[in-house]
Amino acid sequence: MKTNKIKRFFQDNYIILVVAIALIIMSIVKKNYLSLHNISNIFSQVAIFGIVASAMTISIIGGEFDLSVGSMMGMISIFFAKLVQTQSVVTAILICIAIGVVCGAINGVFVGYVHINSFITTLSTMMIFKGIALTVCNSSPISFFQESLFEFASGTGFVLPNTAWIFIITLIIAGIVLRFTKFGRAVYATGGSYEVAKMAGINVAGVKTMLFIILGFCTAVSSILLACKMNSGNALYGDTLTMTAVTGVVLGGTSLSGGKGDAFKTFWGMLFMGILFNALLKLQIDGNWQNVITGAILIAVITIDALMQRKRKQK
Amino acid sequence: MKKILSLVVAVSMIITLTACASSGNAAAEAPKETPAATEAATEAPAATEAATEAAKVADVASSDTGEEAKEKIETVNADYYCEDQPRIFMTNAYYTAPFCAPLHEQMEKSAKDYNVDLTIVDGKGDNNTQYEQIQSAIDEGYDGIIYFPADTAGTISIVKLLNDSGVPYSVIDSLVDSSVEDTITVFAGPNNITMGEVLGNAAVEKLADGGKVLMLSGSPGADPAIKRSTGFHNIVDGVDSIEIMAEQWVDGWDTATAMSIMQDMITTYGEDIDLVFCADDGIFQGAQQALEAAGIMDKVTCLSTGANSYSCEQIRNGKLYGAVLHSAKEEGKLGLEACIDVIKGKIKQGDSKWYQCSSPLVTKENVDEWDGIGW
Repeated sequence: MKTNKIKRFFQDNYIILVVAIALIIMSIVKKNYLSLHNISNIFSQVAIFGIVASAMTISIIGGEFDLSVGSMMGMISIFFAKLVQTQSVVTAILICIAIGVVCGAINGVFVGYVHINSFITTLSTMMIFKGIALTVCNSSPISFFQESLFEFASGTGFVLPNTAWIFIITLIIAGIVLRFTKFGRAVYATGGSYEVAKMAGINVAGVKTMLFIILGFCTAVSSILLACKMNSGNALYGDTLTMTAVTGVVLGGTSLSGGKGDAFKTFWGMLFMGILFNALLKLQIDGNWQNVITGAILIAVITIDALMQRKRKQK
Repeated sequence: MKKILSLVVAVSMIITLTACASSGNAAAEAPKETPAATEAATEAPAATEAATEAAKVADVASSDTGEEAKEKIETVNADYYCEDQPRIFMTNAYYTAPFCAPLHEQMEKSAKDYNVDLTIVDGKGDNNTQYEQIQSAIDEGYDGIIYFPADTAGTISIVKLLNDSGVPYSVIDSLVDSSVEDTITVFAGPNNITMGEVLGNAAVEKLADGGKVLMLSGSPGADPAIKRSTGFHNIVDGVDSIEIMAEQWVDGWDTATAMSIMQDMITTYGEDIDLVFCADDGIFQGAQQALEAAGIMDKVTCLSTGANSYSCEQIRNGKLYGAVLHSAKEEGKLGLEACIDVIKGKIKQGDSKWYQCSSPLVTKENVDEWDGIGW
């Protein structure tokens, strides 16, 4: 009975098993791999993008996808780098968060109320945000240096990096919202079946708009942290964000077709990405092979998960 | 729900309008941030002098002749041989760029010659990725680090990280931000502004009676792209008889994108185009295809950066007027040697040395001398 429960737990949370196996292998191969310092490094590698992945989880569960977060990140980092040199830090942060929320709302209104496919909408806004970023910065990255901001964004508190705590807090909030609120249930319902949710009286347009607003908010927070960590704004920041966040979400078991998933599992998905990144560096794998191995491992993990799910359904 | 949503959007829009006002001011100040481009427009000779001055203080000077450059690349200098096989880690922001293939090849060859265990990883053009890679390399106890930055502005945090770690390092290809320039150990690479200025001077010489110019600059946001463009503007903007009709950035330095942009430009400017500035050889190749297809290749003067084997061939057959050299082999070898110098204690943090790569203008007159040194 107990064995069955454990088996069931790992079938449902397959990614935890994968993370555990990866950690065991690496701790055998590499001395001190599980040192607090290295664990902190792993978190540092995924924390900033992880904040966006938390919001992306909600969005994908709600049946929508946002390609524009990468460009939005570049654009907001540019605004922040400019504003922080002329305004107070608090004003710069508030304005940048507002920009993120408005950008998200624009995406949301087009998807939710105008009924344009999210892929097309966010593909268009991706180009718009990139264009605005490059225009505002005149195609040049903008540097600034504020010791306190750098110390905060690259510093460590209670073992883990500060950014990792923000990532964890974001995940907990996302998890609570999804599991315990009316909005969370509406997200699952809308992502599961748009028509059924609509007939059940759910304000599906409002839900979809809110998905993108949350994404815009989280992207703004990530952008500010990244700009502070790198002491600069750059239109190219976030170029790899969309793919990294989506991979983390999918590895966590969230279905790309919507209606199924969990923010807490995204934590494990992102953690696995961090372990992979860190392990390949520690093992001194050459750059070209890093790409091959990363791709191969990701497809293997996702395939095994899909096969296990199919087997369970057949039972 | 609707009310809350409307409220959030309304408040956000008000705040954003304030932001726009602020960023509007910032945008108005933008030209101040590119003084090189604006001020140098009226002070082009001064800018050129500054570049020449900078070249004089290079700690390892560039080669004056192709023969000398070839010898430098091919010679295995015993001074750099390492008895204890140090482990050197390199993060390259533009790992997959065509220019970097021969750069890596040369570095791996030199690493073998100097008994160095070299690991090169892909920085994915992202400062944050490079920051984390370098942090891991420091933890991993590497004996040296070679840093090929994604952009200048993002170097501040990484240089700080490297300096704090005490691990010997060298920076290659792109200069670091001026605020930390004096704190680094050594930089190996060309001066991209000077490279742009070399092309600017060639344009001024070629268009002595005036003319109209189109610029196909590199990938938007990329440091070499910005600096080459700035250098070109430094010279050409100060010449009244030359008009820059348009400048377009070529995303990803992509040949096909360059061709599409050139096709559009031909449609817009047609017979008016006298000269095309290309930020690298791949961009030139795209521009050339569009110009050939339009049948105006012979009427237009092209300038490029890189002087790879393809460009040298085009210089010989008169399709390309000239290309400023950017030698991947020379840069790779110098970058590794610079790092070994730091490991051996010949250079210390804060010395801010410069191992300069050669960047002459390769034209029909000297193409045989420099062919094979580019990439």
